[in-house]
Amino acid sequence: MKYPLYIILLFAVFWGSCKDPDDQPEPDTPGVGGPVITVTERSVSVVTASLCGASYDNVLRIATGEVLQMKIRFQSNSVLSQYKIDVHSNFDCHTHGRVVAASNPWKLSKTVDLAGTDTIITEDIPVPADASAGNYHFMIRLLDATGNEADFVEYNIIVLNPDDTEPPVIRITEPSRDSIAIAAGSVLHIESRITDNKSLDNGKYELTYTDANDREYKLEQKQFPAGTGVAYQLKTTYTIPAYAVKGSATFYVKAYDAVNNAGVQTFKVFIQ
Amino acid sequence: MKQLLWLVFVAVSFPFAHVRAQITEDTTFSLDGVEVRTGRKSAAPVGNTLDFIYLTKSALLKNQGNTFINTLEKLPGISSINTGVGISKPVIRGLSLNRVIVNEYGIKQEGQQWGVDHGLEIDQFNVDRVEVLKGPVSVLYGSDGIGGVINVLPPLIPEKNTFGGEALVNYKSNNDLFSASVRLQQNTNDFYTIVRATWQDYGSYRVPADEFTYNSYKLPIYNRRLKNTAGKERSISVLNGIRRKWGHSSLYLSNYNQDAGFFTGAFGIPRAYQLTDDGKPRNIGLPRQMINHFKAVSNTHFHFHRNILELDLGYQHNRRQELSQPHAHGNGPAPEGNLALQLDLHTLTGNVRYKFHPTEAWEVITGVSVQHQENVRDGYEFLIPAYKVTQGGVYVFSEYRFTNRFLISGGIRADAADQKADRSYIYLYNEAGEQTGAQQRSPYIRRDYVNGSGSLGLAWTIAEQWKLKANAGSAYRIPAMVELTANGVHHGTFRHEMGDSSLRAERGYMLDAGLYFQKGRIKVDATPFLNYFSNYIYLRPSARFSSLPEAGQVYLYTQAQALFTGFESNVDIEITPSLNNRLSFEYVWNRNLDTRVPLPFTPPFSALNEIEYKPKIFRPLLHDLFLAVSGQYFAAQRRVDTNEPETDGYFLLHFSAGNTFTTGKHKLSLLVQLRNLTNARYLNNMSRYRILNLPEQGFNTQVILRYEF
Repeated sequence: MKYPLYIILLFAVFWGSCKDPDDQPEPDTPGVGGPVITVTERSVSVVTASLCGASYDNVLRIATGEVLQMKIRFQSNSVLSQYKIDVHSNFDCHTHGRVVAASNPWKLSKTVDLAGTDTIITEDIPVPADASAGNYHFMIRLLDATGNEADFVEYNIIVLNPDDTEPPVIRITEPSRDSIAIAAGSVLHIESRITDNKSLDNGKYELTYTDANDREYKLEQKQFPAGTGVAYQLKTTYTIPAYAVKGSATFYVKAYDAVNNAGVQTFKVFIQ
Repeated sequence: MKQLLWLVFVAVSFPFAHVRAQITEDTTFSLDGVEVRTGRKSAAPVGNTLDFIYLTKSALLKNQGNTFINTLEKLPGISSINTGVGISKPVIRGLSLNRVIVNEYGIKQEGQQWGVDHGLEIDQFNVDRVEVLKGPVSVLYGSDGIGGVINVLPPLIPEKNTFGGEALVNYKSNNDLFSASVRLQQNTNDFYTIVRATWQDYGSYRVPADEFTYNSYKLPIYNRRLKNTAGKERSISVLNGIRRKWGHSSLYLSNYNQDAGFFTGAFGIPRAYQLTDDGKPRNIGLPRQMINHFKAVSNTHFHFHRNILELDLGYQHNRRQELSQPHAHGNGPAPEGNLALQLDLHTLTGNVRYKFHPTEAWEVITGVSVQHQENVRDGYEFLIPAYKVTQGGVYVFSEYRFTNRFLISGGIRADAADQKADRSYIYLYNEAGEQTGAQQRSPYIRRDYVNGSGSLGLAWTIAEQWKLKANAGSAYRIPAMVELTANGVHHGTFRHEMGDSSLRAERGYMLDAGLYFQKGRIKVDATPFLNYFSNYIYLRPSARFSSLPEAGQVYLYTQAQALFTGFESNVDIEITPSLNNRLSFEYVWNRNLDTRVPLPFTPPFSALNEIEYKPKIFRPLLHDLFLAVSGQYFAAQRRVDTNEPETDGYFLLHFSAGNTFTTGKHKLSLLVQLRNLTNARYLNNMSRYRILNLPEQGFNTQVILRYEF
């Protein structure tokens, strides 16, 4: 009595791990005959560079006003549907916090219909002449008509302004030491001299700090007024909240010049 | 390879079945209150013909998983959809989201259960008794009773004029989890009070991997911990009641609070520089979700001879906050800071039931249930609008016992529902934070639904050892608001999801059976099922890109004909009175009959074998000692929907042991579980993190110390 039972159960195990023979062929999944994107030619060569504190080997450097040309091959087992190209700024390393309107980020989002199962297209992507310098994400995505997605292709683009590649220089004068101690609830005075080789006009500065728990706070974000020229005296105060986390906090003073080249200086505050 | 491991495991455990020692001592067969299929009557009237499982606190603690639902997952036919280790939702026979009802003390839990990353808001330590029914339950519970129901039952009333309680501490090594739960109960002249408070804190969980692959990039997992998967839970409840000759009445107030982090990069494209270890694994940063679920439930039962009038009233307020840094999406960030989505759902529920007996063998239950819901939204991200839903139903359910060995039951129900939502706009801001315009994201909606459902069942003891149950029924579900109106990138899934306001109510027609065999020390059962849906609602990849910048493919809520079939099976063998082997299987097969491909989020075939040994040594001290080894095999899931990745199979090995030391009224229980002993690296196709190729939790030591008095 027991043996047939075990045999049935063992069959059940096999049944579960086998495919139904009478099944329709299952749809393709990415990587198994699904859509694939291959960039076959690029007008700019790929380099390795450090961005946001990590090293990337998919970096393209290009100047404003230039055209990025790519030949891209799209393939799939089923009919192709669409491809999409997205360019967006990665100025803040994708914390995606609110950005003050000091820069003119390059933005592109373009969707194009495709036909057939294998096609090569040529994309000419001009970098706007007035685009802010900085790093950007560039993405190519592909869909076939059944809804399968290809692994996307991504580049980090560093846009340079050929007229000015030098970031602003920040000299912190207050606090006068790299590291100070202050009690929660009291007022912190911050003063810095910000200078640039060309112009700070319509650039901006940002004050942020990370507390001992690594949580980030934004204190101030202000645009340099038009006509600022090459130097700006930053003078502000910040009352450390009474509930602030005790311990060592790092304050950041960041400045962006007229074409968005960014400079940064830090100081430590031990909150008691 | 994994199949091989599993077969070896089964082969090793089977021969024990033949070593049946000839001991004729009469021992009971139950596993600490697990599964009393034959003895206990279900609290739900359909429980006599549907397959139902009853569990008590001790069984739940003994098998404790990361969440209440993870604990139930061990039962055949039950699985879960997980987001990390703190968030999980129930799946019964491959049906999930709004297709599974969870009732606590007779009131249906309402907490935006349509979202795969929306966990069940129930304190696992506050569950004393639970029953799980698989199959259509629409006749009793109305909309959403498709896959089955999980009924969390009120605790047993403390004995008259007693005071007692428990204190429990729990530790899990994998994510450095600590929890503590205290319960006090008092009964003075049958006025009783039960108070419970639970505190739980955990860090980011560990996985057996140093890196994972996303979109062909290798990304690091520093210190083998998934960054920002820490969380905490706080929960408190008070139950006050009175028991008299006329019946009893109780008022239950509870508040559940959860704050849980999501793996950094789960909402978007994970980037290496975000993943660097901040050295603070208990820190909950962004993205995170904060949930608060308040509940007030009153249950009253009036007894008139054998007849009972039951009245359940409930109010719930579910607040869901999803926080993340605003993603640009071309519109510029809105001024709500990091609050991406806030949903406040208020639900009022009322159920009246009258149970009477026209003849000795005939029981009738008739009832009315009504529910009213209002949802309010906030946050810079649009997913669903503010809405109002009112629904109600009337039913009659009847059971006739021809003989002690044969009963039939049947019921009919009529339901009506009304849904309303105003046009919703999302405001657009420029980079300076100034409002530049508004965009309509969802249309005005006014929908009415009327539905009839029915069920028929039988339970037949064919012979001493053979028992048969069979059911046929229809089930129904009104479309969830998200299915009608969604239009935006849902950060929970990181997809642009779009609703369709013309979707009809989902209808299913279901057949299931249960065959139970018990002879001597062998107990075998098999419960096959077949469900057909004329219009199953699911998210279909549209093959078109979203017009929102940076967003990928649009997923559309669509209706299709669908077929679900499968079975669960258990084989219990008492090898000797102190050695027990339990083997269970579950399998779900489904197909979208319109596209002829499987449906998404289908649990794979799985088998669980558990050998439990209760040595009879030092009986006075180690009376409840047990040692158990269990092996779980999950087959590969190659039956996937379009654009859903296939997932390889895996094998997990667990060990557990425990004992309860008793002196008089005082009881001290120690329960130890070693889970994923081999520290296996595997992917789970039912996990939210599957699309990121993130491995699941590695080796985990769990210790529970429970003191009862």
